[in-house]
Amino acid sequence: MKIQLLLGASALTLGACAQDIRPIPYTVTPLPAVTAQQAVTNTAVVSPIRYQDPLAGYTYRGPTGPRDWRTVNEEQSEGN
Amino acid sequence: MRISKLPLIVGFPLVLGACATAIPGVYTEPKAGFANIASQITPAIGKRTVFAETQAENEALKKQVHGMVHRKTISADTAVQVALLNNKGLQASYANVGLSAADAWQESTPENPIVSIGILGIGAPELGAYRAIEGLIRANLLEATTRKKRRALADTNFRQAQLAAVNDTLALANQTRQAWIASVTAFEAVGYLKRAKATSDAGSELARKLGETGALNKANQAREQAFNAELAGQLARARLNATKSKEELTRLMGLWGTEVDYYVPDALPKLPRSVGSIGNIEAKALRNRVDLRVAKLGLEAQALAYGLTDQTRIVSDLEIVGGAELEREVGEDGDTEKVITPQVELEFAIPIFDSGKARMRKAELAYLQSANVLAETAVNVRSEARGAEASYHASYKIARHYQDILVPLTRTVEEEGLLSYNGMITNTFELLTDVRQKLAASLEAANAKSDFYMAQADLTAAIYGGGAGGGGGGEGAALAAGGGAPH
Repeated sequence: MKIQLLLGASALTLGACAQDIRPIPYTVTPLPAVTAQQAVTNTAVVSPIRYQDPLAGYTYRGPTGPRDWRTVNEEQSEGN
Repeated sequence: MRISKLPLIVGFPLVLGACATAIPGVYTEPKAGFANIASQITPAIGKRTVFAETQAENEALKKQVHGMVHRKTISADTAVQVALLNNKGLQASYANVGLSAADAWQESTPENPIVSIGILGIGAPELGAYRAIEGLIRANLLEATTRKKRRALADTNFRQAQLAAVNDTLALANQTRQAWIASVTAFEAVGYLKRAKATSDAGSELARKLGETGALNKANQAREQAFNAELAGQLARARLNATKSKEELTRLMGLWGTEVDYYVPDALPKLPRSVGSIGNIEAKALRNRVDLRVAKLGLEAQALAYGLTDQTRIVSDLEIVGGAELEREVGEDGDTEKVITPQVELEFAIPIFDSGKARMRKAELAYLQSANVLAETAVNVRSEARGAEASYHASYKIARHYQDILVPLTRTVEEEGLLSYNGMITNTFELLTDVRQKLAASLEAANAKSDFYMAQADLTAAIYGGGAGGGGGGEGAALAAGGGAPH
């Protein structure tokens, strides 16, 4: 009776510990190296692209009324 | 006598189960199937492709790509070559071929026999340790008898995966070439809009000055300023479009970090003097289109799967078990006697409830489905080929029309307008309008030229595959880097 109990218990124990049991001719096969593929996720590497204002170079000019003709003339004179 | 039969009985399932044939090296080599892919890419688009599996190969590729793009103005051919070397999605597609080869390898490998050893009657009162030991070897007979067909099916799937990878390569090449054309066109548009904006700025400034003197009323001033503001908006959108299209190209080439520091030309190359006619393009496409060949192999694979299903329809499981039992008995004189008994068992499922009709229906419909997919693909291939040819010739004519007729006419308008202006017959605003009209015509001519180069890329895709409709390529689009300032 004791043997039967022992056998039953050993079967249960083996089943429970199966995750730690490895086949006898077992050697760890290394994973392929994927450093090159993982490098792109490195946050320290920043691409040398800067934001550029698409409206750069635009100057707003609104409609104006006539200005003092003397001032305008002076602005257009050779001295200015 | 019984003992002498034992090795025969034990070995019988092993022999039946194995019947092993040599596994072809094409499934087991590290880059299985890739040589076939590479050999099909070069004749179609004249480019080289690689499958980088090791760290050293990846490092070498990175250096090579860096040398090709870093702070350089790249041509369409360079862009396509970089994409084929550096796009990781393509590498994933090549890995898929390896997975398919591994499947074929697995199908070529006989299933391992299962050994079972049992100790019966442990602690039997009169015998002590045990009453009997049973050793059995189990082999799957059905696996052995269907292996040839399963191998053929796996081999067809492997060839199909190779062609799918070829199609992916052609599609990437075509997408990259089109992205390069779109990017260069966008920068060319920016160039024309910048020049139009310069004339608009001059008009806007003149209107303001005239307004200050009282020679131009507010309504006419506002008209000039509004036009200038609208043109500034168009230029800003064109700049954004150029940035986005270059980013699309960068993505396809798989570039990041310092490698994004590259340039594209700011103008497409000039139109060719003429374009040749293509004889019987439908036949050419039907002969060369990779996606059509994939569909043909798909039908072949379904035919093999149908045969396999038919073979295993009735008997879906068949195993043979052989071995021996060593039994201990207590004789009349009290001595323990050992008797070895050979054992052979045959296990199979009885097809009472499931006669495999559902599986056969499934296989039949899968075959019909593949046949229809093949027919649909062929119809599409023919249509795409005709459409691509029409588009190629028509877009060339249209581009020529803009370049040879419209642009010279607007140039004449501009030149004559300048003479009239010099003779004080027309005013500055009219002169600026003429200049802008010429630039608008040049911009339209540039867009028409871009359409032609896109159609040229589509034509190659229609013949070899990899286009939007299912295939893509780019042999015909022999674009050289255009001149001009890089971006």
